[in-house]
Amino acid sequence: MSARALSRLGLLSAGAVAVYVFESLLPTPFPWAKIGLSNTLVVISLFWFGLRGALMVNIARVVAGNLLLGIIVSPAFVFSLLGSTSALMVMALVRWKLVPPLSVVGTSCVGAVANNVVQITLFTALLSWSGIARSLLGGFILLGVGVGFVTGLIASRVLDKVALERTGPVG
Amino acid sequence: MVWQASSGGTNLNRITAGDVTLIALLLLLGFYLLGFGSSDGNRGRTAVIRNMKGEVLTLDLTAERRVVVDGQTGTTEIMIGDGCVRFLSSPCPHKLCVKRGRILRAGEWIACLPNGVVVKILGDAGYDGITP
Repeated sequence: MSARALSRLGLLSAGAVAVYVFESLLPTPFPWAKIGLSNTLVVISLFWFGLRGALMVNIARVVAGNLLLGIIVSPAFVFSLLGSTSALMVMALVRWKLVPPLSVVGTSCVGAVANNVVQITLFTALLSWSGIARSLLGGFILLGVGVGFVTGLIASRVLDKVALERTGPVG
Repeated sequence: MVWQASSGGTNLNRITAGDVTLIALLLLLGFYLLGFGSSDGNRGRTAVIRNMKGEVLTLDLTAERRVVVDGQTGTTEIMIGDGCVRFLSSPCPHKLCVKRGRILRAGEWIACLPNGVVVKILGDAGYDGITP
């Protein structure tokens, strides 16, 4: 990996951690839930540096973010890590295996929905809430589409405006 | 390897017909699943059986079993299983309790007043509240 790519990934990670910690202060219906704006930085990393680079940014974001928030080994941390990592896998799949490819916004929506589905599944499994699991899942799919759309729009705008000279793939 | 950054010549910043289709499908799925929960949202998890002697029996609705309860005039047979409760037999003249059929939602109840046996379904009693 080039020093340039490394420093850019570091900057993206730092930005993602900052947004992650900031948005944990915003009120949500569930105290451990976040809006998901920090995913903007992860989506940008995915399109600039590919799956490996985005995975690095994501793990740095979740570990450092939860370390700062003081909930590093809580269920919220595990859910966050598993949800966002599987979301990244799905986004990479959609980005490079789907023909014709989705745009940044579509990819982001798919990722946000995947993240929510994984987290709600884990959450309802942990609490054995089988009774309301399906409606909860529906609600969080809708939320995922909305948040993914906004996140994707921001990422798309950044990717459009910021011309990044080719650094080459990471790794 | 294909998992690497390259735009491949296409502009991915423009929303495509594929995006719109996919978002519409996800919205449909979300609303479909959202409508589902309300119909079976308040299914009970436990049944409480009481008789006039003050004996109380609390049972899990998922475990299938037949319960025989001592009442004032005889014994009442109650069947529990598959999330439902029903009276199989009771020594009463009108058999209203047996005719009531199955109950499954939290808050529903069946009573056999002549024999003094009451069954009530409780809701999700596992958690009073959740804090992070």
